Amino acid sequence: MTRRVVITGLGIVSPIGVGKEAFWQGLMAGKNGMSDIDAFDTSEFPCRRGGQVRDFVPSQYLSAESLSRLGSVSQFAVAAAKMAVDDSRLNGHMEPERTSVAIGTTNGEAPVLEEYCTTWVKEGYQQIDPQLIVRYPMHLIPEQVALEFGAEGQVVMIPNACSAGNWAIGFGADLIRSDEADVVLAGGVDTLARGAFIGFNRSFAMAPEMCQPFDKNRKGLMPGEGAAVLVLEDLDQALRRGAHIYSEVAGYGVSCDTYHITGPDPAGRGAVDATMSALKTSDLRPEDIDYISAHGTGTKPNDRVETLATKKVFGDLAKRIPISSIKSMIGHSFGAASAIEAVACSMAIERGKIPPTINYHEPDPECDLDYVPNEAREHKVEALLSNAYAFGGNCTVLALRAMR
Amino acid sequence: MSKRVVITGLGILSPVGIGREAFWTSLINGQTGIKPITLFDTSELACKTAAEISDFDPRVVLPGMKTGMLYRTAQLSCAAAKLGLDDAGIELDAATKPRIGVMIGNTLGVMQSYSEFYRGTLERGYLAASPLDFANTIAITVAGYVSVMFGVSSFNCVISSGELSSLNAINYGASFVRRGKADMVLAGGVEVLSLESYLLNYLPKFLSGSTPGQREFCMPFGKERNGTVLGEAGAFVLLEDYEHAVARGANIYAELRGFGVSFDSHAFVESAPRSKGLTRAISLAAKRSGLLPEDIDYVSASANSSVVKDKAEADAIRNVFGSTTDRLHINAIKSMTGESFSASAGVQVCASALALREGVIPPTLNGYEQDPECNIPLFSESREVKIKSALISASAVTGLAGALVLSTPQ
Repeated sequence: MTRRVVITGLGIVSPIGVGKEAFWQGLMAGKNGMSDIDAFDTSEFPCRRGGQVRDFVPSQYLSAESLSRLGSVSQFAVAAAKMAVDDSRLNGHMEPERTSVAIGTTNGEAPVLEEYCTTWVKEGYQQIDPQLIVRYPMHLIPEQVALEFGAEGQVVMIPNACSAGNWAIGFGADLIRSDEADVVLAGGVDTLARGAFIGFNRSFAMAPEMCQPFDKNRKGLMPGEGAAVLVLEDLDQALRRGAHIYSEVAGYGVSCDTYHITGPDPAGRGAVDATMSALKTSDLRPEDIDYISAHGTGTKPNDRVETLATKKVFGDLAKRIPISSIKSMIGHSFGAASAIEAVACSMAIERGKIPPTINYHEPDPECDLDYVPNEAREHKVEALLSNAYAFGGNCTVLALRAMR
Repeated sequence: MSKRVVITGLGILSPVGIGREAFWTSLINGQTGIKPITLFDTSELACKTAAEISDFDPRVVLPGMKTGMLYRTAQLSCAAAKLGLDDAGIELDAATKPRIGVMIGNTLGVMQSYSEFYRGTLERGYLAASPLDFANTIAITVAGYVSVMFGVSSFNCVISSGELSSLNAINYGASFVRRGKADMVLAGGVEVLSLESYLLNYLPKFLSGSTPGQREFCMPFGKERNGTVLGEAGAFVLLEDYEHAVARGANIYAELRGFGVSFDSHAFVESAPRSKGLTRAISLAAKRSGLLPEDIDYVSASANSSVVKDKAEADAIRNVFGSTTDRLHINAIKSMTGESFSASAGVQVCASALALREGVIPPTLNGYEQDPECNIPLFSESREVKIKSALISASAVTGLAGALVLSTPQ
């Protein structure tokens, strides 16, 4: 008998709210989380806006000792984990050897590396603070989370960029299914990094004002930041302790394009394959899917290819399945994105409502599905898919379903 | 019934040789790869040596491929993939490409490229930043370039867990073979030496010779050890479904058996690995292999001349193997290859697969006095001995410990 995996706790730091209730209210209200970035000087860049987290108070979640030890990225991750564990009411009930951590990211502690580089350029590398640089290696982020909760099982960072959250959840679910763990804290994290901000500015992939997924006049992505951690738990244990169950991790599909290192395959090969694989591993049929949480970055190629891939898999059904991108509200938080989307999806199943794609004004003939424009919608969700694609042609699809 | 997973190809670029044969010849002859550093200027540093892959030229290993734009980590990654596929005799065609996945252990892969990109923006303004250089700052491209260059499309993924990365990658990669998602997975680790990654270890004085007056010398389990000597490597194995390998008449090196991991938060806080975590990881790996400790013939240790870690590892081995420790064959190949971090366990896996197949175990490169506190048997000349099972141990300063068992397929 295969063990089943359920989600029993949610923790989130996002530009539209910290904590699941503030986040959900933001999603339902179609709140625009974009603002002028002031995490670093943006005055010389053509695009200066993004999804910056404004109301995160680290000391609400972290001890003074932890704060002195943690880089800013680890702070987001540990805080989100703390909210998730509190939400699951597992505090004090996690057996250390049966508890694991898997976190995804794109840039890890990039702010540490950037500070290191700044010292290097201004004063020479001999002046770099050894206590600063030892915080850089990205596997320290999940290790900090493990330390906080006494986890002694597998502890990994999966730096799979924009699909990292889905990978971390899939990895964690596998650990529970294979009886290596009973609880896994899985999620993703990234903060706004000046280097990445420059990179997207220079790649002409950034929108100047707002993120408009699937709109005809979409101009690109908006960088964001945040963290989400989900408590994954063995179903039997969750039932025994009477836990609140948001949803079940039904399966996950992975694949990759081999078309280009940054751009998607115009035919959507990897996206189609990952979707088919998600349906297969979760024993779901296309007609079972009630909602698709889109990768929906707001770039021309992504939204076109994602729409095409959805139509290839779902055929005539595609137009009847609502598909929305919360990146329209929170921007693209890279390694955190699909973990944050998994939180939104879990709450959509729990509450029977789906978040909108905001800033949607003019339909694009190439993007002709139901994107839940501008207004949240009451909609019963029994099963859903959450798409995430990344550089390297990396394609993932997570399948969640209501607990039955 | 779960599928069996075997190793049918080795793709290794190491400081003691590029390719399986050069690597193995150096190891069994006890030839070190530790030499004065040439990759960057050490005139202002107290430490001067490391184990570099000094003769690596991507144009030689990857003829006809456009690798000039890739950062060194991605170049090594693609080169290790190529050598692994060739060693396994895999023809890349429409039938095989969708059935091959890529699972790479790497932690610091973009440390140099991100730093160079970022320092460039500080020195020359942000317009100096090129979009292609930006792709080279994103860690997933270490695996992504392998998929794109070779057209292998089952999946690609990177795992970061420091010195454990390669073992995590091999274990997770194998799970995709077991569930039938892929027939083959290129799995292992890669890590390069750069001034950036060197400083990460040099400034906090983790390196041998970083304190004035110390001798700079890599001596795993040695009495006078005073820190590690860094290395670099690309070390992949081709994991394959056993039935698939047999059907195509593949040369099988070894079968993957059990894997165990443990995280010790106390060690994390103290930056001092204890034997507890590794003891548990080794026990778990043996148990999940269906083996008793006495069934294991050989332990490839991760000892790297670090004062605390080597002692903890020796203790862990004795904790698990008890009185049978003295009949074990144990070596620490980092005495020759240096500490290549995320790639290091991959290098150990390649060496162990060869030891199982060739019936020879490389020595711990010696010439120093063993620490009596590290009470395990070592040997200084390679040994000809038929072995059936090997355990690869890996432990990190941060408290992560892991072990993987390989066996000759029965």
